[in-house]
Amino acid sequence: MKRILSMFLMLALMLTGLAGCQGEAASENPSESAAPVVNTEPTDEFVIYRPPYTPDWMSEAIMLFRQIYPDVKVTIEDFSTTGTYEERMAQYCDRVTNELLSGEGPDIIFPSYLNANIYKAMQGGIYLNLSPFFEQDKNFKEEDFLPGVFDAGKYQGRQYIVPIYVTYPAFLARTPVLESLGIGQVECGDTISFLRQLGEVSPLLDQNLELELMMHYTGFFGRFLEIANLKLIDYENRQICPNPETIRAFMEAYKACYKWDYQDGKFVSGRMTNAPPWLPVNYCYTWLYSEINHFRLYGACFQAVDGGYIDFILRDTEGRVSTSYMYYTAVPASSKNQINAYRFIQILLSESIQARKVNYKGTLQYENIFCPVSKEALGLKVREQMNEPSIKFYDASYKTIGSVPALPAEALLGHMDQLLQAETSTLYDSTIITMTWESMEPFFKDEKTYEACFDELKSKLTIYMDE
Amino acid sequence: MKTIPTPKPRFRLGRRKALTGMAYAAIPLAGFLLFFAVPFVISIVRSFQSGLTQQFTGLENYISVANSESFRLAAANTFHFIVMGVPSIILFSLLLALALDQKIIGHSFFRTIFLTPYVIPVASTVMVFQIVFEQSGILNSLCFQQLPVNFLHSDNAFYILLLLYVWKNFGYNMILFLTGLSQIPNEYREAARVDGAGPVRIFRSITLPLLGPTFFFVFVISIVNSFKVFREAYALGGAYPHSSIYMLQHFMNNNFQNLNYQRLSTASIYVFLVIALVVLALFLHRHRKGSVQL
Repeated sequence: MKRILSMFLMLALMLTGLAGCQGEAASENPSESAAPVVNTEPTDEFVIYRPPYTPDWMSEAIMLFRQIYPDVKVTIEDFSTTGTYEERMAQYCDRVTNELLSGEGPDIIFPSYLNANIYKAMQGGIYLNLSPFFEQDKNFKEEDFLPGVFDAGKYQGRQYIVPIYVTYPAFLARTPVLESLGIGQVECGDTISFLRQLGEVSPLLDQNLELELMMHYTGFFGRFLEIANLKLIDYENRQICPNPETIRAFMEAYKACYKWDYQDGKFVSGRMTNAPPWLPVNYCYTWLYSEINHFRLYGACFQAVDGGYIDFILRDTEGRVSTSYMYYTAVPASSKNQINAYRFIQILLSESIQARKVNYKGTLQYENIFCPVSKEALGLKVREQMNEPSIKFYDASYKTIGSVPALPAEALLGHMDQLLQAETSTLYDSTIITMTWESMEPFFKDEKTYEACFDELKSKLTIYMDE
Repeated sequence: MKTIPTPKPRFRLGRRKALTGMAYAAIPLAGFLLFFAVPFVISIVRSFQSGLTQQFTGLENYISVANSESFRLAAANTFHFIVMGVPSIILFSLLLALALDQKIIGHSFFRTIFLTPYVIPVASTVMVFQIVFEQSGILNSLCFQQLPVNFLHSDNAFYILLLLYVWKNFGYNMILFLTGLSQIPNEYREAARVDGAGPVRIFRSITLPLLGPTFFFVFVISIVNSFKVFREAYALGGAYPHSSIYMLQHFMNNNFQNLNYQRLSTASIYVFLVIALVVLALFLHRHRKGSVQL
């Protein structure tokens, strides 16, 4: 008995001591007390893990880093080239996760390849605060990049995630098809009014094959939820669903489109009825996620077939143009070579990578796959596209089989101007989208009331945020 | 003159035996240290640190985890599951063991059949339950065609998981009880019958007390297995299942995925402390009770 009592006494004394020895800032905000120490001491090493299916721009950035900093030893880890996509990604993800746990791992990571919740990782001090590096960097100016593009990578005013390429929800549609449905003027305000308009015409889809083909698109919900930039979790203020009215309006607007999104489970591929067979357009509309090049291509096709098109960037629920991170990077807080990691980020944001040139059929052209975050790079790509008189199409053996007149410069500049009106950015969270879908689907199917589904959603999001 | 040979000192032989024993035990001991003891100590250390920089934070993590709604929900669900699952499985497996101990016709066959769920892979078991309980599953198509119920995403998910746990593990517990029952000398029961005791009295006064050590072991194993039900819960509901089956392991696994090792370590220390207290209490109880007095 005495022994047990003395053990408890010792434990109580130890706990009292530990309770008094709390971290630097014993605040409710774990991020403040978890703020990693920034180390700007130059080192002579840089470690990078090349993820599976490494994009070419990443390899080129590594090559540039070696050229610019020849005294820094660059250690590259590559991953298996065998196995399925999931196996390779799991191998990369497991390796990085386990090494970060042990305080090792690369000096730079690409969080889109990991399973971690970005905001929780920022909260938990996993990523390094890069703001001091940006502030000391005389060559860096935030206004050289798309407006608001760095917002999504910030937490509590500190920059943890840096975007490299983004997507944006540009919508391009065939005017005659929409006019036939009574949509003379597409409401290109916010996502909710656009969804409502789609919902209103959905009963007419049976009569219009081309628009029906558009609506047979799985993943509508997730896509529109991302575009809407609905704040379901406010990590900064630790709030769940801070705008319930907006969320309700979105869900009710989507409900009319639901049956075309998932219910019949069919995905029908079709073609524009009056288009030449070599034109690479299938439906009456297309989403231009990645690049102005897509607008240049599909816009020219619609122009050639119909003599016009409808083009706008869909705005979020607050009426803002919002870009979405596609590729982004961060530096682990445990990195021993922080300054070299920042130098690598500088290269990723430089014109060499942002407006990367590739060899296309013997000529050097700007790579037209991703939308750069740099305004200068965007301008360079658009200016190159303005110089071509026509767009050619080739068969498998690169023989020209057709061409359409290129869009005029004003059209390309107008499209770019829309993108330059961006005000903010978002980070895609597939877990939140899945949770929202699972909770709200009974409402879309009229199996449960909105309130019941919303309560379930809030319950799930609370667990997710609070973990 | 004959000299009396000096006998070899005993302790030299004893020390050699001890060294031999330690040599044999070294490998499993090294494995235990490497895979359990050292990671455990690292977890304890991590629970007092923050982020990847491992700055000391005192009890901040413990306070944060204890205040976390999701941790409390997970702990409540886990406790609820143990309170309902462990007695259910013990009772069910004990009844079956008692039945099979009667040497009924085909008892060997039944023993094998009842053990089968334990050896079936988890993925197969879960698939069967999904086929039965999903919204488009067999149960809905047979009984709730007009208004199908999403069993796996409702409060029913808890009872389905409970059923899965009992179904999967009762065979193993039954075998343990059968072993315990077989070690009870038949003479005791015979003597009791001669003295006029009925089956209930024999069970209460002879069988149950002598099953004490087996009971204790099954109880502890059942608690351990109740934690392992996370595999099934994860397979049924994913990383974020319905709130009724959101367990402590979900909390820990999700924090691992989110690279939040300090919260994961803190939660695991909490779990360790609770289990250690429970097992310690059980051991103390058994120690005080001593051997069984018939």
